[in-house]
Amino acid sequence: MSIPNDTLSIPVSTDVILSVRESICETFGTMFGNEIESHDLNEDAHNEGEAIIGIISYVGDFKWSMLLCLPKSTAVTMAMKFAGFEIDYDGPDMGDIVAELANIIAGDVVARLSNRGINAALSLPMVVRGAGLKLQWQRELPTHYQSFISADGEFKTKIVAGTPHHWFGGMSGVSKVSGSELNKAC
Amino acid sequence: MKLRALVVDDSRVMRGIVMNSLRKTGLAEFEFTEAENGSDAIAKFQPDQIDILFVDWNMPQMSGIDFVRLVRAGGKTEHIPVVMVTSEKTKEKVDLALQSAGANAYITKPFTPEEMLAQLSKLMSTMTVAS
Repeated sequence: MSIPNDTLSIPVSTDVILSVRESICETFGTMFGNEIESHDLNEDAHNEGEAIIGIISYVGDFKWSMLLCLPKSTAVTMAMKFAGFEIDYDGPDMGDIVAELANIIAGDVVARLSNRGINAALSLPMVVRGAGLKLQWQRELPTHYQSFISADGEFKTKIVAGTPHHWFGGMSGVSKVSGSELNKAC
Repeated sequence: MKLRALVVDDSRVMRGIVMNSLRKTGLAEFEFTEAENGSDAIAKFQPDQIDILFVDWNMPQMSGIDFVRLVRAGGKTEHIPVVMVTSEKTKEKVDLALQSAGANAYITKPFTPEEMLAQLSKLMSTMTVAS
């Protein structure tokens, strides 16, 4: 598959990194009533256990994607707080909630980028779930990793140049990707 | 007062959250119809049987904003309030929904019960509904 957009070779924008970080700390902080700490990571930290990932792509001044990676325990806690009732990790509602959480952050990120003079529009969210997840790109794409720590648990984000069209074929360790979830993204 | 609401969102959980928050306002007795995207909403929307619409923006098949445009294009539904409930929050999107597409109110996700109560109270003061 060719990668048509030359911007994919440009390092992830600092404005994007800051917008995602601010959005998660402030939005999730308010939603879940916790202070959230963030740290940059030097490399992709493999999700050792069960995890669920919400993926949103952006188009506009440049193409990029945000992956919100929630370990099972964090996802279960956040889902219960968000929905107001317990959500089965393995059920379809968990996918719904993680998609919605990713979407809420993504919408806020777009507004923050707009305030920074950067145009961006959202895709529909996609959700993947499995154990030992590692999303592999077809080639080395500029990527930025962040780790977040809150009372609800740890989680991570990955910001990647390009959209799933550029790298979705190289996904490993995924046990569940529903057709409807894929359709939402494309 | 009884309000017949059409709640349009591709997330079943989100539809539940919207409906619960509406019930909790205590402003009306609600009867809900649910739709999972704009196309589904078109199939389920009967103007004489719906008093208010709550519509997400980003949905597969047909977006919420396209659904709202179609609803307003009919010309006979001005009396039915449309509330956008969405994570889109740029000024451009808000203006597009309220000024161009014809929505009456705009709530961004995540919303608080107080925000829902305030918007619904404002809209209900202008509505004529079946009692």
